[in-house]
This record gives sequence, C-alpha cells and structure tokens, in this order.
Amino acid sequence: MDLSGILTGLGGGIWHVLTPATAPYLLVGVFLGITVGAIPGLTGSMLIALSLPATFFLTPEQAMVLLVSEYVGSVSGGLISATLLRMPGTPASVMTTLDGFPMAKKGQPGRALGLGTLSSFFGGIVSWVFLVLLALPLAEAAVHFGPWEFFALTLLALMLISAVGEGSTTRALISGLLGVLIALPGEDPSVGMPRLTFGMPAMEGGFSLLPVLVGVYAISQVVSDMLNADAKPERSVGVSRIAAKLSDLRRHGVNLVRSSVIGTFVGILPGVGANIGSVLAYLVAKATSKRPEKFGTGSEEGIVASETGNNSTVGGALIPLISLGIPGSIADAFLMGAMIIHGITPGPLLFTTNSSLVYVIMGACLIANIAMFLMMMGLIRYLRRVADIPLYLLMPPILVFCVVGSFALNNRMFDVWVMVGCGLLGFLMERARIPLAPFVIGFVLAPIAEAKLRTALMISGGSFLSILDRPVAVLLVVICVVLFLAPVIGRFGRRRKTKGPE
Amino acid sequence: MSRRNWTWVTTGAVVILAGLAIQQAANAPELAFDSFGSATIPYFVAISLLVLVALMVFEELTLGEGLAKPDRGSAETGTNAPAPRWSIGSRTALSLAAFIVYVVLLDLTDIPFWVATLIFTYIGSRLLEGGTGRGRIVSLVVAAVVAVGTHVVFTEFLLIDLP
Repeated sequence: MDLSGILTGLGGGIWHVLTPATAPYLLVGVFLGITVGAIPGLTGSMLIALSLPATFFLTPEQAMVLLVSEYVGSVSGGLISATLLRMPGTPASVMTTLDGFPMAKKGQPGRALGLGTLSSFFGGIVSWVFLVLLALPLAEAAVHFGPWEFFALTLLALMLISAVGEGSTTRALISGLLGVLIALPGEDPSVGMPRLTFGMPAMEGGFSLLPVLVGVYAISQVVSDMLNADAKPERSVGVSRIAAKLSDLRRHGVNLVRSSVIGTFVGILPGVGANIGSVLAYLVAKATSKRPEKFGTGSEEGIVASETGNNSTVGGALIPLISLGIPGSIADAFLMGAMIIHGITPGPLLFTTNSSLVYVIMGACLIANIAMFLMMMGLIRYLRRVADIPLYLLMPPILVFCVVGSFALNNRMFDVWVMVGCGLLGFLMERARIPLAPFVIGFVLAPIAEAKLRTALMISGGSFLSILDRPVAVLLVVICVVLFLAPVIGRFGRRRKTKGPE
Repeated sequence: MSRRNWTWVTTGAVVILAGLAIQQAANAPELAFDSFGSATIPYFVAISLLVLVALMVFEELTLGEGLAKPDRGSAETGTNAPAPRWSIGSRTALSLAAFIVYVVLLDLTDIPFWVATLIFTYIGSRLLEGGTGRGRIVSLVVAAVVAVGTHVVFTEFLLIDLP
C-alpha cells in the first residue's frame, strides 16, 4: 500500500472515531483512564481488563476505541498522584515522582503538572507517528513469515521480556513458563482433542483469557494494594493553575524528541512496559544533562523525560500488536484478548482482513492523546481529588468487578473460581518477587507458539532441521539463545572482575 | 512472613502445578500423523519449570537473592488518622476471606447478586478500614451504589447476565 492509501485509511479511521456513535466511548475511555491512573494502586491494565465485559455489546471498533483511550489516559493520569501525593498512580510514573513532587512542594504544582501533561502529549504524538509509519511495513514483511518464523518470534517475545525486565532472569522465565503451563489445558491445537483436563468437561475449552489475566494481574495487584493501604497519605498537594507554554517545546525540544524515540522503541519490545520506557528516558536525560545534580530535586528535565518516555511507549507497544499479533505490554495483552473476544485475530493479516479496524485503532490513539491533553489541562484541578479516595473504599468494588468480568464471558462460575485460583497464584508470585508480565505474555502467546511449531513440524515431517531453510527464523532463535545466555555470561564476567588480577 | 518463606511457598505451588501437568500429560492424545505429540510441550514446560525452580532455590540459598528484609506488609501511615485496631495483614486476610465467602454465596446459593454484593462491599471496606469507625456511612453508600448500579447497568443496559 502506498502513502496515499495509508492517509486515506487513516482519514477514515479518524473520521470513524469522531462520529457520534464512537466519540463518546473515546471521551469516557480517556476520562476513566486518567481517573484510574491518578489513583495509586490502580493501573490501566486493570481498568482495561475490568472494562472488557462492558464491551461485549459494542462493535469491535467501539470496543477498541474505548480500550485504547483508557490505555492512553491511564498512562498519563499517573502523573497527577506522582506529583501531588508523591505516590505514582501507575508504575509508569515512578520517575515522575522524583522531580514532580519536589517541584510541587516548592510551590509549583501547576508547573509540574503542566509540563508533565505537555510532555505526555508530545510523547504520545511522536509514538503515534511511528505507529503509522512502521505498522504497515512490518505487517507486510510479516505476511511472508511461515510457521517457523512465527514460532521463533513468540519465543523471542518470551525471552525478551525475561531478559529485559527487572529482577532475576530465572524468576522471569518461571513466570513465562507458568503462563505457558496454564495455557496448555483444553483443546490440543493440532488434533483438537482435550488434554490436561482432569476429565472435567468445564476444562475442555481451556482456561479463558479474561479470568486468568484478571486473577493473576488484577487480584494480585488488589491484594498488594490492600497490604499497603495504610501507606497512603491523607491529602494531595493543592493546585490552582496548570502552567505549560509553547516555548517549553523549544526549550526541552531535544529531551522531548530523544525521550519519545526511547519510549517508542522500548514500547515495541514485547512485554516491556511504560515503566521501563520512563526509567530509561530519565536516566539518559540525566546522563546527558548539563545540570544532572538538579535531577531528583524538582528538575523540569526529569519530568519531561519521564512523562515523554512513558507515554511514547503506548504507540510503540501497539506496533507489534497490530503488525505481528504480539503484545508489546501487559495492557496490549489485554487489548489482544479483547480483539480475540470480538472475533478478530491480531497479526499481519489484520491489514488485509480488517484494515478499517487498524485505522480506527490508529485514529483512536491520536484523538485520545489530544483528548487526554485537553482533559488534563482543564480538569486536573478537580481530578486530583480522586487520588485522595481511601483504598478501603475502592478495593471491595474492584473485587466485585473482577467477579463480574470473569463470569460475564461464558456465564459460568467455573471461570470465577479460575480467577480466584489464578489470583492466589499471582499473589504468591508477587510475594516471591516473580514478575507477572512474563506470565501474561506467556499465557497469551503459548497457544500461537505451540500451534506454529507443530504445523512447521508436520510440514517438515517431524524434522527440526527444516528451520535451517528459514534464515529469519534462525536469526530470531540465535537472538533467543544470546538473550538466554547473556545473564550467565554477565554473572561470570562480573565474578572474574571482582576477583581481579592475581 | 519473610520474603524467603514466600519463595518456599511459591516453589511448592509451582512443583505441584508441574507435577499435575506431568501426570496429565501421560494421558494426552496421540495421533500417528503428529509425530511431535500432544504431550511433548506439557512435559517440556513442566520439566523446565522444575529445573528453574531448583535454580531459584539455589539462587535463594547461595547467591543472596533472598536476603531481602522481612515483609511486614504495612507501612507507616504518615497521617493523623486514628490507628486501626488490627494489623493491615489481618485486615487483608479477613477481607479476602470475606471475598471467598462472597464467591461461595454466589455459586452455591440463590441469594440475589445485588444483596450479596451489598453485604460483601460494605463488610469488605469496613474490615479494610480497620474498625476505627471512620466513614461508615460512606462505605454503606458506596456499597449500595456498587451493588445496585452494577445490577442495573449489566442487566438492564448491557444485557449481560450476572452470577
């Protein structure tokens, strides 16, 4: 497809988003996203998961507009509590806390929020440009992928999230494989017969996406929040006027562009979310700053880098989801689940089979960023009050929504019990410092990986060596091996360095 | 409970899950045209998990991965609010017990969804609040809005069945 085709499609997508039938969902999504993002302990992924049942009666376009808008709003909303409460509303806003709160304490909360909002908007728009420019070429390249390439790609996604994420690689791999293990019961992808079902008819369809993800991610998050419920300060810092100027774009231009590019490319990496994008952009900004000593004391550069970095991961993370069917973050895994529930298969063929939906998603991403900017600038003074809501009032209703969300998909209590069991598993993992993101990605990608591997083996008559005929697949597997061995080599190298020359 | 003890509990859970997968994989369907087999991936994943869990235990014991501070669960409040009667760990455990009772009620009894939700939401928030008596009326209002609101929105507008 040429540029004019993309522009025409994009125009159609944006127009669709702005129609009276769809625009309200965008506004509601952004508002809910900002609100939830502003409440410490609640995340955008949780909001998307809990909103899924409400999308069952919507068209796929309306559903994706609502969920993408929630995603955009939630990443931005974290800025409010990070600045006014010194508690990041979402993990993506951790770095904003370091400079936003000191600036607010110095009597400039409006300046911190204005600069953060402007940076969020800039990051969102730059990553949207990358989304538009990269998604189609990537999908066109991926159309030529065979089962070996897709298997290698899903393997790479799992390895990347284990290698790039925070903490121990061993624990991350355990998490990813647990996700794969929970995805295995049900219908065998090749022969279509039940396996690992313990003879229970309810398990023959496998564990549904929503109860598992809501359990592992939302329930464990709720329990962790409950355990920290007393840590929340009573009142946020007051704010009278939000201050951001166009001249800020010029003054922080380099930082804005650099942090946007960092955030976008971090977002593209499977499973690596906005928090890593924010941290990386912040660290690079500090390393290249003329006044690094100001970082952590209310530096404008710090706020700009953090907020640009986290918001630009949103567009970046949508690229592999749309082009390859591989989620770029936990929120994208939920978006992928939403697509599947609505009968849409994400991946390279999406541009062929449902191109209008792709452009609606792109249009929603753009308009949601604009709506987010306007809402944040206009409503932040009032929205900050939601950050003051005590957690003891929020947690029980969230648990109720987890039950409703798990039940609504298949109308059976079995799914609710699956959610409870997965919640227990997620809580144990969280306590044992096993990250949850690889689990989510593993659970979502396992069926694809297994189906592609077995298709490839059936085509080759059971020979693994046929992968050697596919150079892209070989390259991806080599990268997987390098990622797998890197921590071991790194640890060995550090030990030798510690011992020093004899 | 310390972080290390949580690691032991999680290790046990992972070993049980891997064991169950191995036991079930023995009965997985096999077809002649699929030489790879239905059980191969479950076996591979379960055995890999056992190896990785052993590695995690090794790291915990030898490389100082588990030397984190004990997990006390609660943090300093930093507010002038009255001190809760019970520790945050106890309150969380009680709230989760209430949640399980709520799910059991929905599954095994004919109690209407909105009634069960009203009771759970109110009791859950009071348990979490810690028994100091703050915000009783607000808890009741929130519980009523959530219970009735969810019922009305899902059954009347979204036309989605509730438990």
